[in-house]
Amino acid sequence: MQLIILDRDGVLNQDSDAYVKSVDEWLPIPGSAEAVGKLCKADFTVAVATNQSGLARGYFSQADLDAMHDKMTGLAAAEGGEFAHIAFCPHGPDDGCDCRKPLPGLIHQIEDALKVSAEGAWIVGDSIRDLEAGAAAGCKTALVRTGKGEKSEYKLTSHPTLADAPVFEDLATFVDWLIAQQP
Amino acid sequence: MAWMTFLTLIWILPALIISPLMDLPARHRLIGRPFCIACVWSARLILGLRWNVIYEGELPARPSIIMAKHQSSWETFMLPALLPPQVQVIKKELTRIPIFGWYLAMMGPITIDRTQRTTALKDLVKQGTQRLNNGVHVLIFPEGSRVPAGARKAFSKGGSMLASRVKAPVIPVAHNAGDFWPNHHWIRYPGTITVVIGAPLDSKDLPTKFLHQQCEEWINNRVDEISATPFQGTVITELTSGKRF
Repeated sequence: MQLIILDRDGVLNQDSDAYVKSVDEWLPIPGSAEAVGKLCKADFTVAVATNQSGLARGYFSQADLDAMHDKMTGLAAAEGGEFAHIAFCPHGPDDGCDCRKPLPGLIHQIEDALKVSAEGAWIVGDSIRDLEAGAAAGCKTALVRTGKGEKSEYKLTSHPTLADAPVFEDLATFVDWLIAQQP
Repeated sequence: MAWMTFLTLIWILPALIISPLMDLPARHRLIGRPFCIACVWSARLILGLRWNVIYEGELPARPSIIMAKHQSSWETFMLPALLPPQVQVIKKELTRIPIFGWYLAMMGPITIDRTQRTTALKDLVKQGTQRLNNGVHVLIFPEGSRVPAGARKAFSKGGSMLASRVKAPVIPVAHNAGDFWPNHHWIRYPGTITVVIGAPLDSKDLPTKFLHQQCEEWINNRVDEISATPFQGTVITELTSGKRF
């Protein structure tokens, strides 16, 4: 069993600058559910680590978030995939929490929930802070160009420690590449 | 040098006057490429700089990103003559040189500010995508400036990033012009420059990092194989070669 950690907005579903606030606004990125299915069939344990400051800001409720995650889980299940754990940070940027990415708190929550180490696991995100959170917990990092990824790619090239992270078109491309690497 | 100045004047000045009447492909076909051919032939006849071009693979039918070793001015004339039509990625300052700079600007180059890395990358991807979609190759010197024979410089990721985003093939080019045309010295040695046009690298589904590594490795290794002065361990880190053009 190998752990893989995915960011949510901009990796699994379309991101929005106005926040993804309801189940109707949660729109999958084409191929992402299928990619999760492929990972599970290849014996990966898939977890999600996502900042949801919209909760702290009052843009949506826990019930809305649960509904979004039910939709996400359902779409993945239809492709033979499941999420072993969904870790989310409900805090805002000024709350002083230890889980809002780029801090690695969510990754540690996943480790605790699944009783595994995230060291050496891949983390896939569309923003630099996803990769920073992963790197802080010893993960291997990959960027996708969906969501904010195209912009992040420019910043990534001059990042002091992450400039070498591979960049992929989307989650589906990453997963195909990853599975092809397996012995 | 006097001849080059003369050639530039008799060719470029009339061209600058009539160019507004032509679209970009016509400028490349009727002005740019003949000028480049005249320049490399001048170097051949005056300086005895001959060339031997080796093709290692079939050239792709679609617009590609040409990534080449940069050692001298010679390849900036030879490559447009060999692989047309193409635009070059050049530093902004070049277009400000009187006459020659105006000629460069007329050929629709991708101009970047080398001191602003992130902006330069964005400009490269934006302008490069547009040129490729118009059916023109994009020539990039990923080292960013001329590197003396026997030395290396880290490749910029820009070319690979552009290739991977547009899903265009990369044509790697190795040569040893620096053995005959040293950048730091006015002297030119006669001889035969070897140019190796590599088999195209497919950017499809390959993460940028690995395309970048493949290209850098191929060019550096191939340059070593054909050079009189293989890699001596010198790695250049300065942004510019200290030369204006």
